[in-house]
Amino acid sequence: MDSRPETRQCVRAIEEEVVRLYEANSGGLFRYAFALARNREAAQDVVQEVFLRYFVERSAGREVERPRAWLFQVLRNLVLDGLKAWSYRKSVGLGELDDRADARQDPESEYRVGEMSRRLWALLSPREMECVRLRAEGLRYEEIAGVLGLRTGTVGAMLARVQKKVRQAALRAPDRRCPLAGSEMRYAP
Amino acid sequence: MHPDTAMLVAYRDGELGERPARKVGGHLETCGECARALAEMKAAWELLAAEAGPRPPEGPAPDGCARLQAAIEGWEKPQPDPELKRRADAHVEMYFGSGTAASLDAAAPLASIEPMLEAFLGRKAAGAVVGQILKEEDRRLCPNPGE
Repeated sequence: MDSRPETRQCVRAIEEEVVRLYEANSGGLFRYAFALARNREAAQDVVQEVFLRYFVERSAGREVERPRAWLFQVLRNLVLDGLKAWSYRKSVGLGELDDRADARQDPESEYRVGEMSRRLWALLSPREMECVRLRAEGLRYEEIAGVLGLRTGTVGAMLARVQKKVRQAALRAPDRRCPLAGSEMRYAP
Repeated sequence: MHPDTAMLVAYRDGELGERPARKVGGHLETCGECARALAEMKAAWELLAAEAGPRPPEGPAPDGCARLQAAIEGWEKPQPDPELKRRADAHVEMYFGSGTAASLDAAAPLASIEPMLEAFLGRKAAGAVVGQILKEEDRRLCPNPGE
């Protein structure tokens, strides 16, 4: 590392910034990475990598306007690149990769999908699902748009469509309960 | 007039602008139907957010932050080839005067050259030039960002 005192001070300030961001966002990034990659170790590694890249980006003198959105976006690209490389090695078509990335049925994976999740995933498109995940991690519409490469208005429209789908499914359910859970949530007839 | 689903969802998410949010808020105080719809939306969202998984069995590794700090400490700023640097410095001094090359940060030449460009071109044009160079660089490094 550069030993000039002013550079050291600058590096120290950036390091503190990175640690603050890590403390605030590592949990959400880890959950998001896990949802995409289905592997705890890979998710952990990619979270580390993303923060190191953020440090390098800032050390190169570049400003990051919306750090949280930047972190999620870079993480998503890293995971998807990794999945693509994996599909290439295993000679799995990219079409099949979608199913894999979605992992609706993956007997080998280290988690078990509950009935409620299965119904929910069947209801939503992968894009809508990603919107929901990012929103669940507290990202604003504008940030979600940045991560997924959409317009902010599209994110709003997508989340509204998700709401409509859930409501429709609830109305179709015979006991008028929310189909996503054995909850007591009732919809007006 | 009742707000539509998109508006109520945006209201629920705190994404409406101040004025529309006030308008919807006022409407909700007097309209039981919309207030119920909003309550449903909130409940539906709770379920969605909880089931947006799969959830990892536990959180990130507890020593993650320490490992990250160690990685940062061990990170070496890329140093340029000394001969290339000498030639680049000579170019910079040719245009910007002797001694200017010393103020260049080799790892971030653009960031340090921008103020010099500003003196010639003005702030806006210098920003545009640097932005264009960065865009070209991105295109070179990542020719197909959509893939």
